[in-house]
Amino acid sequence: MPREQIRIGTGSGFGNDYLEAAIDLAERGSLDYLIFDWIAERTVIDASRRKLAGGAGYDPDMETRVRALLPRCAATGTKIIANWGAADVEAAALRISSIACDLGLADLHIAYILGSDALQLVQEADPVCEETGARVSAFSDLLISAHAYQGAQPIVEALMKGADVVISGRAGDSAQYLAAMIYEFDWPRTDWDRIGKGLAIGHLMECGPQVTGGYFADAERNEVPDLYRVGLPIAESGATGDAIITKLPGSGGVVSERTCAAQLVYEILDPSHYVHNDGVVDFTRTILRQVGPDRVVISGTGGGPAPDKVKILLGVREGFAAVTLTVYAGAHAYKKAQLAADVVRRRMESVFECDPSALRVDYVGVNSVFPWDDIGPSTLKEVGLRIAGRFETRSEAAEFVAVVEALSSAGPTGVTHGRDLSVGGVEEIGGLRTTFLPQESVGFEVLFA
Amino acid sequence: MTERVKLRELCHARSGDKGDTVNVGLIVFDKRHYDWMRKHVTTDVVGIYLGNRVRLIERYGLPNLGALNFVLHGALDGGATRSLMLDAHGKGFSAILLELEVDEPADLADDA
Repeated sequence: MPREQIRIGTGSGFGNDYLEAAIDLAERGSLDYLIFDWIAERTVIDASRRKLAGGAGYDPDMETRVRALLPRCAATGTKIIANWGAADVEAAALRISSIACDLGLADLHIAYILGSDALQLVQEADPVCEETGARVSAFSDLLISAHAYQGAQPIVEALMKGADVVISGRAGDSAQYLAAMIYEFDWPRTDWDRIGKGLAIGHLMECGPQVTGGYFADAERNEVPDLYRVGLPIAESGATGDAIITKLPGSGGVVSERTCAAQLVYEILDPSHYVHNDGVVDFTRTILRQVGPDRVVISGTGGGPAPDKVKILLGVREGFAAVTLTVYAGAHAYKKAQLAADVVRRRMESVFECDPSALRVDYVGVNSVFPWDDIGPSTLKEVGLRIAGRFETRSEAAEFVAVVEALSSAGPTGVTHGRDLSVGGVEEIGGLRTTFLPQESVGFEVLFA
Repeated sequence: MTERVKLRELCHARSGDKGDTVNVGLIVFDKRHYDWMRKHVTTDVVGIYLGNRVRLIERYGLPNLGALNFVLHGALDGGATRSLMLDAHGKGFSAILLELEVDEPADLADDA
């Protein structure tokens, strides 16, 4: 018998969301599902690079969550759905399984889903890259990863096979939520209207505190109580496709039409045609209605057929980025920071034969976010000089950082000199590109650890 | 004479990234101001304000929510994975847009 209503909680919207809020949900939320979104466009590429360098292809930090939440969820019969697998789903699932055994939870059925790693498929099919217009093979050995977005269906299959925990790689954030609804409510996979509704609920939930008051408080008009311990959201999700977005009584934060509307427009393009693997969402029909304190009904969302093609995220090596920050103080701080930037540019050009126009120079407090027209930079008594650059090798990037560090004794006066870390650092970077493959060419497989 | 008003007086906003694209959803506090926002906060006005920081701007409406969604292409120096921008994820674009000044709605002018 399909259920009429289920309770879904968000365990995290990304890796740094508050653990105690997830524990609170697991203990007091009477949840059927606790869902973790752990990855973003950037983190999958980072994980791929880490795996190539001999490290873990998943984020080892997830282990803390697993240890804290597996026992609590097992005790309440709450199923966990998480894209903790990142670039190495099998390794992540085996690790979780071994943690479960350590905790005396060897009976838990831990499913994992392979197929997101599409590097080989992409190399064989050699589709056109959307941004460059060239075949993917043009990246040659700079292409380090290709990940297909995974929809809800493989997760539904895992649940049908009795999974208590479902680990994916690049599962779409909203798809993880939709999967719970499809499974519990027995929605047909072509019921586009309800699939649109389910994805919209997932969209509101998947960034955790962003719907409960995070990224909303503005220290002026939009007040959020107890932001320091903001709660994670709960969806009371019904078989009709409507849901109430809420949070635990006593947790910090607020759920209002405003917080929900703000999250609804987060990271969308055409709101009438928001494309997921499982279907297309029409947010222009969505209605949000406050029905009580911290309770907002989402209804009305439309849906449309799933696209023919699967979106694939490509990771392409792009060398190294270095970012530095030096703060200048006192009279004419802005002018002194400008002089320091000139010193760095000319030194990079004359000593290291670096094209100085490749360096990005911003003045924190003046224009590092936007060139505000009403700042009056000449009156500022402190200005941060932020210089960043991309370099082919780590050593070139490190040379650049050393040039900036030298400013403390060889550059203009008014300089501040903090801990080494405060100057900046070097990080390897991977460019993100996209391509598409036909849905039928990307197969997913459900396995148990 | 019409008074000028900053968008933050009448809207809240949220921005996020998709690759090299930033979107900013502007949401009026009072849904009666949606038509005013549609009339005054056009892609041209936003384009002049943001200048060459973006390559192409599209605008979509969500009247049920009193929201406009601005899609800013080419705004992130190639996207968060490679960008050298301080705000590589574009989360500050909402604060930028809320500082935009436009003609205030008639009802506010009447109140004054």
